[in-house]
Amino acid sequence: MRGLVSTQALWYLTRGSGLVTLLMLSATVVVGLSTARRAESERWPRFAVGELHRRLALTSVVFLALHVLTAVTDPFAPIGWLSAVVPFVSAYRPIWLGFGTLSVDLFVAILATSLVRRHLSERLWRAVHWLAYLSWPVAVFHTLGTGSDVREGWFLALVALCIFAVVVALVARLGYSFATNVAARLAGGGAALVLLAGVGAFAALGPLRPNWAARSGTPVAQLGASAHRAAGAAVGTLPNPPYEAAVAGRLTTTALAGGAERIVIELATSGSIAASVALTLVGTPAAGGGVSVERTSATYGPSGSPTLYTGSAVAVEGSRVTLALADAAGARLSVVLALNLSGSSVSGTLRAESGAAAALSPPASGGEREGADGGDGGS
Amino acid sequence: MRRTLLQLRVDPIACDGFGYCAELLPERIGRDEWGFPLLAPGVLPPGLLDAARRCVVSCPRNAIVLVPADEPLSGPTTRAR
Repeated sequence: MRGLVSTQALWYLTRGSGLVTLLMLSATVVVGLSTARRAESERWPRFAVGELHRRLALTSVVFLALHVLTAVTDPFAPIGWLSAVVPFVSAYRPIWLGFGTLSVDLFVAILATSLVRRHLSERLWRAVHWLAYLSWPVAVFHTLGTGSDVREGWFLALVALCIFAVVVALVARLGYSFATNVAARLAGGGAALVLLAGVGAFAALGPLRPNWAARSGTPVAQLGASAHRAAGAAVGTLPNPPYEAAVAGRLTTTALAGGAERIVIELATSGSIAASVALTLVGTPAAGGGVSVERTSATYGPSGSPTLYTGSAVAVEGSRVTLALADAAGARLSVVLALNLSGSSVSGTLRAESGAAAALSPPASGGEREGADGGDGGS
Repeated sequence: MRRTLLQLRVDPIACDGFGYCAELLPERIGRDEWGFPLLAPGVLPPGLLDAARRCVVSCPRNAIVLVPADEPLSGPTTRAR
């Protein structure tokens, strides 16, 4: 099991290398745009601009690789290797992570064609190189859409600096020998303006408004876990049972063939314990309301390892659900959930005890046992 | 590589006169009044091969290449455009 430091380090490395990659790629674009101007001086020969463009691009590969590798290997966000290559398939913020993947794919195409440029036709190389005009804005949307620090002033200032620098360089590029291809230049400037307005509107309506993490498609387990990270809680470990924690999450109901229903309850803990529960109940609606449960399955674990314990619900009494769970080594854990439903949102308490669930005495309520155990629980 | 004598050749259609090559290999490449390269004729001496390769790699239009000296030349090599 990963310890606190390594897990946190990977996550911070993902975020840091992502921002550095955006800064490096923005610099690459700015310098690349400025090569057209053929500026030269005693101290700054022309070829140095081209060389700087090349080397900035090659160096940003290092940070990009670090960004992708740490994002995939970090257990906090469920990002698989597939979603590092194929856009829009991730479980974690599929659209905004997909923008990053798309940008990477385009960048790899630009880079690869440049590395073997001598063997390609100039027309093909240039057509692919123009994808930079797509790759960079897509990277900006990715940064704003997935960036964990988007609402921090310093983060926004750096992103704004990137956008400002590229826009200035683009205006200068479009203005250089303006008389040729006037229509194309005006179209390019118009497209840039539309994009700029789009980025601003997106930032204002999306990441800068509250609750973006949930709206952008972050799984419930990570929503809870990120609050723990902010509180400095140990990620990836659970305390020794017995313990209690407050839980919150959502309930989704799906109608199955033959009148049956599948109810999925996803919960994340709050407080000093970072864990998540996923409970699936399949049953048929009973005549007097409620559901007659036929099959259940449940997983429980710390953030980063949400399926450490697997099992099923052994008792469903009103809003109290008892889960009998075991880990891969066979260690048993029983978890009692006392839940309050309000529409699709669920909140309540979780109580975990070691041993088989059947051995639990039927308590009147989880809360009354708190003082008696005097343990390390608490929420 | 040692046995092959090399010389530079500019594709005058592709060249846009960025001027990187003239900066990187001033011993062999000058610039005309519009900034396009003027290549000294003949084989490159071994001491200039590294600089010549940098010209090839850094050309933004991929317009300058190293070719074996005995390759028949098909186009102007001393004056681009």
